[in-house]
Amino acid sequence: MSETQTPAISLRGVNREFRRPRTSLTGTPAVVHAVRDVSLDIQPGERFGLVGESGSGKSTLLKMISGLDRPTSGEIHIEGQPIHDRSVRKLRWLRRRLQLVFQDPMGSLDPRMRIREIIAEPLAAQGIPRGDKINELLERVGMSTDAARRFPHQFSGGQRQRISVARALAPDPHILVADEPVSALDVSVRAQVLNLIDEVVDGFDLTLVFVSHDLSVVRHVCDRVAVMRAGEIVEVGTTEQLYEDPQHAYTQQLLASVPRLSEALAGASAAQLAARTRAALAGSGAQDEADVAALAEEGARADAGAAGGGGVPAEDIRHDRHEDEGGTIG
Amino acid sequence: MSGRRINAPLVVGGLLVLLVVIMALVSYVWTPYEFKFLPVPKEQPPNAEHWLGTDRSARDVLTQILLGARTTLFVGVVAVGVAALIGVPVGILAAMSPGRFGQLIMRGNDILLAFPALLLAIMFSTLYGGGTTIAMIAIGIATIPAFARITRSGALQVINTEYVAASRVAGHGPLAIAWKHVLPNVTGLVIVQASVSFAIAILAEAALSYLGLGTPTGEPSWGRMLLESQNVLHRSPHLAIIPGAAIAVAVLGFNLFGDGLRDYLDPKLEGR
Repeated sequence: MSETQTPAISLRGVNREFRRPRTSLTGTPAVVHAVRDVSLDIQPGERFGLVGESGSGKSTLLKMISGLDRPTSGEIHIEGQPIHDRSVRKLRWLRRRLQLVFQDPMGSLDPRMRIREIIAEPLAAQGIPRGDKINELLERVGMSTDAARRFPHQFSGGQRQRISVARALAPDPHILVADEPVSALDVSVRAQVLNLIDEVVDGFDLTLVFVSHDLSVVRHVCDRVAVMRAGEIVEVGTTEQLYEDPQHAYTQQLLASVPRLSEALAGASAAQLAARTRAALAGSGAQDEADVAALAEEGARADAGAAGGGGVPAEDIRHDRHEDEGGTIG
Repeated sequence: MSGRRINAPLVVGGLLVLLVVIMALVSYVWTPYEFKFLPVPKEQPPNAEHWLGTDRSARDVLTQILLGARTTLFVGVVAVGVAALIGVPVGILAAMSPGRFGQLIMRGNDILLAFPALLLAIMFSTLYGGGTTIAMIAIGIATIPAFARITRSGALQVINTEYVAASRVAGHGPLAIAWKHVLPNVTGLVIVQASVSFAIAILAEAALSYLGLGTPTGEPSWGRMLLESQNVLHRSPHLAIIPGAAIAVAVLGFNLFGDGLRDYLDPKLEGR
């Protein structure tokens, strides 16, 4: 990444305020500051993670980046072109460059449309001829081509996210934005969908913006991570920096409070984990010492059971591709 | 779609509606007698000559029932057609317009909703002359708010879904979203509303005919028959029972059919 390169996404002093409905006729409506003064550059080819708890403004920020919402103030440029002052109607060019994968595998596909039509939507909207693209995309995301004539409810959550990815890839975007793409999925399916996103980002040379409240998931996918809290970005850094040496108190707190499935799998012992949880809870003034102690014991037992195995390295999880349930349900 | 489930209400409702449609169609090619005063005894009970008897003006009841089926269908189609063709787009517009404009539409809707349907029909009849069509257009207009409301509530749910956001990201404008996503996803609601409104329109026609503002005298209508029978109810109850049953069959048929169709059209239930 050279310094002179135009950033894929550039945010300058972005603010977004929402007005609450007034509660009385005379009162002034309350203003909620969802995003405060966010400035950020995301370089082409970067895999950028955005983490924060719910209500931290990450979804609002994402909507603005995707041109679904406009900032109250500040500037947003996608590949050098401004989108902050454009009405949705004037953003058609953006749709070929930036596409989204949504959180809810149930709600992001129209239940009344066949998969073929769903994937073809960006093509239809852009006036791009369909050709054989639907089948190619289905194969690309690991689905069989006869999925095309089916309806969304005939697929599992994981399969629906694959379809979502196929739709996002249809107009050959440069930037893929994923809004909590695996948080609604069963843990067993998450790795598969993460792998898929991983693969297509590599294969299509995409810039990735990945939003999640789950730090372990972001760690697997992203090179650089920003932590959001109450509408502000409190810390930005490479994934390694942020996870190994968090600077901001909130980041530290966040890291401490997350159940470390990934680390447990990556080799951290359960006893260590429990100890860390105990420390975190003690730090936040938790009273339930007994529970924590029980947890630690359980951890120690689990360690004894897994002795010699040493856990599975995270890398393996990431590239160990299971086939999705295979076939359709129903 | 082979996997779609044919359900009982759909079949029963469909058959009842079909029965009304067949009666209407048959009336175009054949009726037992002409629809006029016959040189026969009045108020005959059902017999071999007159299968459903004769009324107090010595007209054949079966003839009236067959011809009345036409009026019934016509009445429902006009009223529901007017209401749905205006109400559904208004509801979608209200749901998709941000802020004040959508609110304004719905307040206008509330005003219309507060206006009694029959009063509107009477006003229309006074202004534009009587007749079934005018009366039913008025009933249709009075039914617009029902369609607008139900459509808006459905559309609000649809436009907040991620698939609509996805469609926006795909590059579709509001018109395309309304057509491709909102409309197909509110059809179920609209169909159910239509079946209810169809029944209401049939009853409204009967009420208006009584006031002399609906179907004019000398034109066959189940509602008219019912009202003409009221003075002889104790003497010849079949004159009330027969058109009453016909109305019940039509109303029940449309309600069941609407219910069954909603389930049938829902792809989520497919193949279960």
